[in-house]
Amino acid sequence: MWISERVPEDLLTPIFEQLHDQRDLYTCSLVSRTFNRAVTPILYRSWDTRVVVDLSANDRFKRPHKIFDPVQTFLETPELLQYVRHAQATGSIYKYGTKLFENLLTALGKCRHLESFTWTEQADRLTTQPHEDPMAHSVADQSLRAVTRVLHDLPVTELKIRSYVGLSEETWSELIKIRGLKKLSLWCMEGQPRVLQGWSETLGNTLTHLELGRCNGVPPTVLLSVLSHLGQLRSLSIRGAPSTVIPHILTLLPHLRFLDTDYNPSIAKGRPPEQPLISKLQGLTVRTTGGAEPHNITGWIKNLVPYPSLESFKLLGFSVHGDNDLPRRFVLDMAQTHGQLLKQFHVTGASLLWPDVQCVCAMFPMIEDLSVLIFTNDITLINEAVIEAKNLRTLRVEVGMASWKASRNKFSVEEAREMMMREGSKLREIRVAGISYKGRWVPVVNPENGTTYGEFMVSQDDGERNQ
Amino acid sequence: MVLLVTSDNKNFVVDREVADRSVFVKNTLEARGLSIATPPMLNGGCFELTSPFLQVLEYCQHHRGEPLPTTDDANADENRKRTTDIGEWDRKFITVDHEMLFEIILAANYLDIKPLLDVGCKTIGNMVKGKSPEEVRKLFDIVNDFTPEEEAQIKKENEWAEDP
Repeated sequence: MWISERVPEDLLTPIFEQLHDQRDLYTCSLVSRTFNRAVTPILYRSWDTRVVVDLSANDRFKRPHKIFDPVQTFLETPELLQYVRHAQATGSIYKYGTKLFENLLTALGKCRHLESFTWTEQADRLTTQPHEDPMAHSVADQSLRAVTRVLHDLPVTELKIRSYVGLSEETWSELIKIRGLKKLSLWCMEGQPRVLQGWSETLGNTLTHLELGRCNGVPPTVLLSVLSHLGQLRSLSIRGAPSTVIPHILTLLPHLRFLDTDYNPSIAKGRPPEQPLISKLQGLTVRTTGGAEPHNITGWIKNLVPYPSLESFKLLGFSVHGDNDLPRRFVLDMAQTHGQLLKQFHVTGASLLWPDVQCVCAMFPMIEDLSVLIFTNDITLINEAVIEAKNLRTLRVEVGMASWKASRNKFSVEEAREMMMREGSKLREIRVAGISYKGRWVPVVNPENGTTYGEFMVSQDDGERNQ
Repeated sequence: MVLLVTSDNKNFVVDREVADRSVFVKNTLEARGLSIATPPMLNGGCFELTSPFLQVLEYCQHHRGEPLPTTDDANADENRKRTTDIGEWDRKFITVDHEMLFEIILAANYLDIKPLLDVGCKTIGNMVKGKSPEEVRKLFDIVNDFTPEEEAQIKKENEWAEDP
């Protein structure tokens, strides 16, 4: 009984906050009354609707499914709603009955402490174009509108919308009534691009994080006009904006520290901003389709971060063709400016050679997280290439397909362990050509005397591919 | 240098930089303009203090000079909580029996040393992961005080969080 006697109940909260899997929280709710009291607010902090569909069924419109959603519990025990801080609803829930959707709206409206809300329209539900199934698209739009009206009265500061459905004017006019947002993410893959026209004015004082998933075709003047109201932004993720506009955007956002954008060179030559760039980006992510001229893109990148500031740099490719090599000159120039600061270097949108990797490790002594694309048959040089990176914790090496097929080398668990256990090494995660290894010290309880001791385990990780 | 006096009247002279790892001690010293903090006592002396306090001092000594977590960066705080990794030195440091582990957590909580509290809580959290309710009870010597009806009710209420 010593845990109950010695540990005050409020100290169980930070312990349970370390559990991120609902199943572990569920387990703790069944241990004892004390555990149940302490874990319940954490279990109900995130309200997540999961629809598990049997994808093996032939008829895709009548697949068996099970819904995992606490909405019924909320209706029976409404006091649990006081604990909800984050809610995530999938647009497809109305497919399983209007009653369920109505119950969801009722419960959502009582989440008086809701901080964030995410709406996702699942890809497996709407696989048709609007003209093929206008009813389904219309219902999806109406459902979001109904949810939005409920959100008007809640203290939400974070909103994410991921929709394959274009938003109607009616729905958009409801959305832009939401005030006080600090973080907003909009991904609407169909219909008119939405870039906060008519909304940015009222969000200017609060919005610090913005993600705009589709700006293709939006005139630069509109983009700049919208963003000119958002002077408090610290983080901006933007897709489809012409690359010539990005420097202009940076001059409008003095507090911006993180920029994530794709590289869209336009035929028309853009004029550089009249004001000097004073950007102090700590994080820069550039996504490229792989067809860009290395010289143009690297020059453009260097201009975005002219002063020492960058701690994270990512140059990511949508496709891995290996058309482009990363010029060594670019690495050296970046190191000259950001060499003492950079901790994260991900370049998979252009390929490197082992000597380039060695150069990166030597020129960026603070580097902790390195991800590169290599075209070579020989992975035995991996250890030597990163030996200078004393602070490296995560290493990911994508190997160009053509070269890899010809290679018989496979990176083994023994090699991973050797690199992790090398004297002074801080490496704990290594992925080579899709095979991941994670090393960690795990506490092992001695059943005889109850003491714990550590054991270093290296395991092959079959988790999702990270960028 | 700072003199720290524990509730069982043991004196510890430590560098200010070490003592400042504890937000409680730091604030106490700053508020009173003193160089003596007395007593950083725990729980009215219901258990022997010196032993966990020595461990806590060792932790503070090792992490002296590192930036203290700030309350204004919600993202950093969130990231700190989300990761379940424990640094190598911390992992060795926290390799103690269950009783000492909880005493360190209590001390870290009282003295307001968030990174140490995190390390302790992560260690216990990692022990709980993947276990059944009965295994957790056994691990921490906890008695199941639910009636069968209560247990059934909780299972019904929280069914949505079960393994799909």
